[in-house]
Amino acid sequence: MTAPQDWHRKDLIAIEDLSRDELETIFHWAERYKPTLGRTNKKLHTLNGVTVVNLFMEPSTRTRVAFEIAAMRLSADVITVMGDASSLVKGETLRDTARNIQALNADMIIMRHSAAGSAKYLSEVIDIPVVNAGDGAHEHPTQALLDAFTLRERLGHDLTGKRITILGDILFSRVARSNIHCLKKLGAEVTLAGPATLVPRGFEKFGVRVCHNLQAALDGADAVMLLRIQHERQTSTHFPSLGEYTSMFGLNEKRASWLKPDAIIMHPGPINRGVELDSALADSGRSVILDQVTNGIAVRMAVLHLCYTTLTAQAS
Amino acid sequence: MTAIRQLSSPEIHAALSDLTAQLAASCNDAKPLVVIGIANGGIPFARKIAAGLGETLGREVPVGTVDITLHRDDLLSNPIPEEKPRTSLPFAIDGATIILADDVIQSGRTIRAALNEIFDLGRPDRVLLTVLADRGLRKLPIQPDFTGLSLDTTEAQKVKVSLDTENPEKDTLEILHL
Repeated sequence: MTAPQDWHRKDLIAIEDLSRDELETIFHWAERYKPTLGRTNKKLHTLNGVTVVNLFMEPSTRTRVAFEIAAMRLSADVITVMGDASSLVKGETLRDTARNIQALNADMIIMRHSAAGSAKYLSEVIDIPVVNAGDGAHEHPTQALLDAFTLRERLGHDLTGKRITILGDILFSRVARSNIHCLKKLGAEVTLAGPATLVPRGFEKFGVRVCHNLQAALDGADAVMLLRIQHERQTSTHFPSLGEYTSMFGLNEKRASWLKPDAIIMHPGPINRGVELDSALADSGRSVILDQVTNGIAVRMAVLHLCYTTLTAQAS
Repeated sequence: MTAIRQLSSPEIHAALSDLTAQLAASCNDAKPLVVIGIANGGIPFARKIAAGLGETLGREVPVGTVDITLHRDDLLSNPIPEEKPRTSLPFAIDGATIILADDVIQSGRTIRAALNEIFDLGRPDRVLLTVLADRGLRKLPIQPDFTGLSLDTTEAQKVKVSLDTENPEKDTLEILHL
């Protein structure tokens, strides 16, 4: 059976904007692209002659490299510009930077920026496709897409009723926000867990369960997504110490036994080994952390292809 | 759509037998021999060719599938692809003789894309192109090495092939007016 499909966007800004059919379209293409990653010749010609600018105004290794590889696998020319966000916090400057990039005949921009809303702003002031690679604490759509793609591979294509627990620093996490929207649209039951200071009750308005008791949050879950404690986004202390966080909420063998027997463990990286996740568990067969990294290339190939397709379709 | 011409299964089988005999004569060396069908229409045709070759040559001729979607030249104008079986080549293609099989050839674009897909996966010794029906109207300089039926058609017509690997008596080929 073919899932319903739809796509008319030139930009990918937020999972919140997408319909379930649009999500299915991305997954459909990602499934096609994934097997090509293991080929003798990994290069396809989809974006041959297209120039992609990776504008990273905030540090990133994994996402930046995955986008670079995804664009190169599609034969695009990729240039990465890494800047200091402090010189670009004013909207006018970001606009000028982007318009200059467009004036260089770039065809797409992938942007990471510390300001929430910056990707949407950029998409409104330039004509070429903008793909959000993380905007402040707002959204990180491709991370949620690769997480959902990994869940579909492991738990089956229909995530309806699957119980997914997101554990850790939810308050400051754009990954959590994108994942909440994505998983809800796909029909999963989402539980948020962690210390009350990082997992406020206010998130219940998204239709998720907020649970500060770790055992209750993990009991019977099909998957647990761990989030890194983001020191850089915290302006005040939300828990006494990393050691205390680990003793209360770190995932270890005993706590993992509360999950369903075949449940999977996910982490967007980079892992603080021994803090939010026990090192042995990170390397165990239940961990799909490296699958997430590989799937990140396939879903980004799908996103770049689809956004660029919309642009060329509009032009013709 | 109205049928202009219809070919029955005996006519199709005669063409298939001729093709098999010609292919067997060209592929009787010791090199690994495989048949690859282009999804969707080339798959049952490839199976029939491989079965016939296997019998004639007295050795097993494996069958694979290529999906050309990722090499289409209209990929950027069509975000919703047709669902097709994915590329599956359960054998080594490096150094092999490949018989690339499709039911109908028209513009030649599909064959160009299929060759790109195959060469992404390895380096065969040679590739022979066989089609059940050549309906003309070529747009690329690509010609089949072995053709079952040559049809005289126009752009306003459609050639519909239905091959049944279980019940060969149900095989049909129709030229329809669009």
